[in-house]
Amino acid sequence: MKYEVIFAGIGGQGVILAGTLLGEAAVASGLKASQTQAYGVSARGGFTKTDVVISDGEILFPYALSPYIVVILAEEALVRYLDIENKNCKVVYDSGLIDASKYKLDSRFVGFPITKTAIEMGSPKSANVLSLGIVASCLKAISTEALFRTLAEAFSPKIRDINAKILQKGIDVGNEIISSR
Amino acid sequence: MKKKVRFMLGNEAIVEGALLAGATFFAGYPITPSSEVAERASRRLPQIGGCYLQMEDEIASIAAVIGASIGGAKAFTATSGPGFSLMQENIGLAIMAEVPCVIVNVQRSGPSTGLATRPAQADIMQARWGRHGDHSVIALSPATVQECFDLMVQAFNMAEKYRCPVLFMADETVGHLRENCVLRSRDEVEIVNRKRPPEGLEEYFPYKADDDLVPPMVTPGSDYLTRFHSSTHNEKGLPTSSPQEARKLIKRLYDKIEKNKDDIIKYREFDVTECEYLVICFGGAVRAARQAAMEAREEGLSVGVLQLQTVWPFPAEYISEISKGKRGVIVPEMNMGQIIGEVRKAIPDEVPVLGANRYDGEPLTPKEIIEVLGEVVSL
Repeated sequence: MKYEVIFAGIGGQGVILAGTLLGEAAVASGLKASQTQAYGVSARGGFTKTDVVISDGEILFPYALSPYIVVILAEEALVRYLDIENKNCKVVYDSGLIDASKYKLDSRFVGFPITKTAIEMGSPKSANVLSLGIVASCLKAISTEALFRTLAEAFSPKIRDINAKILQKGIDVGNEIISSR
Repeated sequence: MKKKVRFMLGNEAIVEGALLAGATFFAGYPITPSSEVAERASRRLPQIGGCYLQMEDEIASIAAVIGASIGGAKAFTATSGPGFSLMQENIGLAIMAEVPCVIVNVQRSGPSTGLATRPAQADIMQARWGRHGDHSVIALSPATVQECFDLMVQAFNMAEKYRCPVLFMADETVGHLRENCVLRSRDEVEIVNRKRPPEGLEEYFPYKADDDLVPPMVTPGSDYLTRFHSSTHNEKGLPTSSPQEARKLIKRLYDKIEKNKDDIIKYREFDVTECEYLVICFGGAVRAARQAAMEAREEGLSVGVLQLQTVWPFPAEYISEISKGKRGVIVPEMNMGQIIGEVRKAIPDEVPVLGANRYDGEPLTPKEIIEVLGEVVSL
């Protein structure tokens, strides 16, 4: 079993944190995980991505060469994954932030208003948590209990309950995406 | 007892390894992609009664580390290319004055400030030759987060054992990598502490070495006279212009490392003996190399990987021996080809040696190595 995942966006959206939490939840589920990160020199803005590899065996190369799922939170990131090779890859993009009408996206691309939903649920900064839920539910390898525990340990108590709800929403969205394919 | 597996950043594991080795002092000037070393050190050292010093620049950082080590602490700093350049003069001082310490360089793309957040392995010759003057040096390079932890313990042990600075040559792909890591406990690892003069010694000479070529070390305030000298000095630690004494000192500083290569050189072998094609690499490039070797084996090619955990001193004799009869050797590096020169010097002329190089700030991938492998096979 081996899954490669990419979270991509711009600096400040928390995509690297989403990757870190996914990796932590995978390790807490008894698996091996690796996470790499790429970002620019500015504190906010600029293309940012994190690659997570999850496996039940040793992970040799820690970058995603053939991702199983990519979550994209900004147009600046989307343009880099338009020609993604893997035919079975799912690409979930934030349709609230990205106007995808100018791109010819094939059926691997699925839009969902990730950031808008997080805002409506009470936490504008939790688009990354919703993204995490989408990915985790698509993978089917991460223990849900470990996922929620990892999330609870990562944030302050005042945001814990909202984040748990947003994570659950992400899981539901992920399940819909899988069943609709 | 089952060990707790952590999902840890390479830079954080470096700090934990240093602490296990007994480090109590860090002085540094944070720089991408090494900043998490300083960040974690600033939190962890006060917890154990140690000292974290945020310095004004890298020259001051390495100076403080040398001072702390002379004062008796196991001390380290962390930087990247620009800071490593600034530290060279004082690393030379640590070599000459025989001050144990560990300098972490999480390499990024250069020259100068280069691509601050992007990986490279282009400081590996600087690690060997960055200072002026004849000398040998120890440099280790981790390829996994676990090795960030384990090799840091080794780095401190070697620094203490041989009374010298040890250069810990990580790179962005490992320093900024998170993966499974087991933090070992004190009773699982050997910890080496610097040699002190034997009890009851009447007359102590600061630079009089034992048979192992390493002089026992004292701290200022001990019962013995203390001298640390950057200029050519005799056994008493006094400056000298005697050709005999100069030669003796330079030779001893060199030999204490070069004559202990069997102890210092660490490597990992993956199908090295039986393979027809051998990949020789270090640090982050190892990950791409091992993936490439696995994919090539699935295609029926016989490929092995030799990972140099110790890059300096260079294991020339071993590489010379192991590469005999190979059909080709590939040296992948995230630079324009630095270690490949050492490999070429070491191995027989009839074995073709090709580099797989990347110097655009992107990590080396298995694909690039497989392409070069294709070239070697078609030779």
